[in-house]
Amino acid sequence: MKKIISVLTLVAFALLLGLGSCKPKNAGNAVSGDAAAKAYVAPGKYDEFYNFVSGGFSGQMSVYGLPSGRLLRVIPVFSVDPEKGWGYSEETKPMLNTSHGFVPWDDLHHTELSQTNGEINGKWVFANANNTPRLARIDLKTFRTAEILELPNSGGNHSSPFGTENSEYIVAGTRFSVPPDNANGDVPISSYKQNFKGHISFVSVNPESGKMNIAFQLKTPGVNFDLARCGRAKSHGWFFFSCYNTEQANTLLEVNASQKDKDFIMAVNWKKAEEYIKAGQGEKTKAKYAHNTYDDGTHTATSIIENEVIVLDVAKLKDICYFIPCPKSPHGCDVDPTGEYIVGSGKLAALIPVFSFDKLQKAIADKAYDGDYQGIPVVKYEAALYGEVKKPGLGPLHTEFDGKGNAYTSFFVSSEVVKWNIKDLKVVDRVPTYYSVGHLCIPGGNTRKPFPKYMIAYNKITKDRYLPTGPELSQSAQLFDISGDKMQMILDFPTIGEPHYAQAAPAEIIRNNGQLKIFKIEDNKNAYVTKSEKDSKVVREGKKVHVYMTSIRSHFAPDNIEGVQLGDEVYFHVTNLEQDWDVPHGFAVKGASNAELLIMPGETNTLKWVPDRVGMFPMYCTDFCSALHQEMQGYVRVSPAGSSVPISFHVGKSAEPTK
Amino acid sequence: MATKGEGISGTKCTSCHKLTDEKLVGPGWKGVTERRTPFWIMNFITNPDPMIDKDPAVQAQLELCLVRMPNQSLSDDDARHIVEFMRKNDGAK
Repeated sequence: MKKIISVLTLVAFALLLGLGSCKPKNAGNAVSGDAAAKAYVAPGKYDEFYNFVSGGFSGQMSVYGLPSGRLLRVIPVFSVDPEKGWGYSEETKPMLNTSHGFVPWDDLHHTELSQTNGEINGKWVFANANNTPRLARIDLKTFRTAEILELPNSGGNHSSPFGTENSEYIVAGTRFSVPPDNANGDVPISSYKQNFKGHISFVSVNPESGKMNIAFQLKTPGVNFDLARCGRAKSHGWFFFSCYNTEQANTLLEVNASQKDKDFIMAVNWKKAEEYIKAGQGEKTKAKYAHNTYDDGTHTATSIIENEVIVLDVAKLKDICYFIPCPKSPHGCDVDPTGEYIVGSGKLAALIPVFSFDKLQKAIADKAYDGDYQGIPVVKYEAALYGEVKKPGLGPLHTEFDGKGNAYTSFFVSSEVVKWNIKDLKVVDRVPTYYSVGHLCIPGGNTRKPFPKYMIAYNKITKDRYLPTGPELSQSAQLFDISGDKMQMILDFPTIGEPHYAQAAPAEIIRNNGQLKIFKIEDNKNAYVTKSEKDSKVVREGKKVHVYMTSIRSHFAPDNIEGVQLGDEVYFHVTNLEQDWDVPHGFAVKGASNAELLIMPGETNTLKWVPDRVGMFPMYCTDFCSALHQEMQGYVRVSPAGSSVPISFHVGKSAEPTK
Repeated sequence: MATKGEGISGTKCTSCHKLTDEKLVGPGWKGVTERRTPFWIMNFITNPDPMIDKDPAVQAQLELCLVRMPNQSLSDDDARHIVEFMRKNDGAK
């Protein structure tokens, strides 16, 4: 291994020398000699960190190993995934149900690992759907989406899925203000100021089961909510949301929402909101939203439509919300590990304001206000300000923390990451990114306990990073070693979709969380399970034909099926009888208009198939399972409607030929 | 015990093993308790991989069947019940 590293080091050195004289415009010369060794994880060795990366407009979440940048898994969340049968199998279809019906796609922007006492606990990772507003919970024992909750009164769930210190709540703030769902939405768009409202959902999470529930919504003036962070330690009980378009523009926001010198960070005292809820001050409001859960016992999802949500009007109920002025359309809104400093990042600003939680509390106590904004007090800028980082770069977006007193802020316009000291607000280091960085991630960098070894920059523009692939290029992330005083780029790796936010955790926390290797066949409670080959059967119920099928290396039972007729709906309920780790079986049948099944050991999945013609239809296992995988196949005979061919099925011996 | 073993083997074994001496995916079970000790059988079915990798007799069997016997996640109790069922299948009273 040492030899390999030294060879790689030499190669990296050669590259460095060769490009050393170029301007620091492109990749090659930003990499120093030992970069390859630092990102190298030898074959057969594990990475140090899991990285949960948003898949952007793919609607999925990807999981990478760090520091290698190896893609470990793509978890289907909001978009169908034919590879895994997600959204295609009968069992998973309800997961993508919404009040609009089945929605096969969304845009996943941010990820949030669950926490206990402000530290990552390795139980779940949450994700937001930006288009049809939803929140998802992924179970890190199975790396599968376990729950999806739709959010009423919302349009574009962007300010989400950020959570509190014990994941008491995951928040979901609407990007678009819209007329509430129970109001008439058929109004002129130009009536924005009268009719449009913002809503922020506080979604409670059961600490044992993870089950989500909209505890309450805050009804706010109509603005755009962008991002959010919880208070922690001393500021636990508070939440901070960035908002823009306080101009309340409804067209050409690029210009019209950039008029004011300052927009707001909205500070929310959610403990106070809880008091109002307890006192019965919340208004039960009609709403219609889907709540979908996947059960690992039945291997089946259910979708129910909820009808009500409790709303608190923050203009009427005092002491929940305060606006803090923040320069130039704030985007990121990040809280340091001590909970004292709140960093606002104005997309169009050339400075970074840092607010103090203590000063904010004093300002509220002293009523140091500059009037109000639609019934909500506006705290004087200076009264809440700790200080400003002067001339840090152009277009600050997001900030993560190392727990050693430093903050790292991404700059989209000047395409760089700037490290600065929180106490004295001085810039200590800066490093270019390639190109136009959006979010940053330091493992635990949003918690009380960061693991400041690496930082990843997720870039918006990829030009010239990789071999070209036509008009669309792979997205890019860059890994930096931040263990020393200077940030050092050590790896560049492609990502799926467009990466927005990502979080990372030490591998041990996730690996040792009781991850599942198989589903116990004894515990399989699927309504159509077949636990033994001798129980496999084919049952006709009118026009529906149910095939109770098993798979094991390497055959299906039954593998010969006759008596299906044109006009039938056939349901293949396939149970994988294997009880060994990493032995899924697949199932596909010719002409199926949906997808394959990919069935984990001990699991039952169902594929619906409507044959479109009379004839012989092959079926086979799609996941290479043994030396005789290619033998894992069978036939379904489809006869004309009204045919006298009876239902028959078998495996292992041929039945008497029927006519 | 044998009845319990029969139930477990229905889910985890008989997709590949017949109760006669006929080979399906793996060898038929008839006579297995005369060829192997209970100890050997229990070792093999609870943790097949090391024996497939090392035991020459099992390796010879793999050359005939070409499918590695899967680890079916059997507990020691499960294995004990299955051995009792095999003994009954071989005519033990």
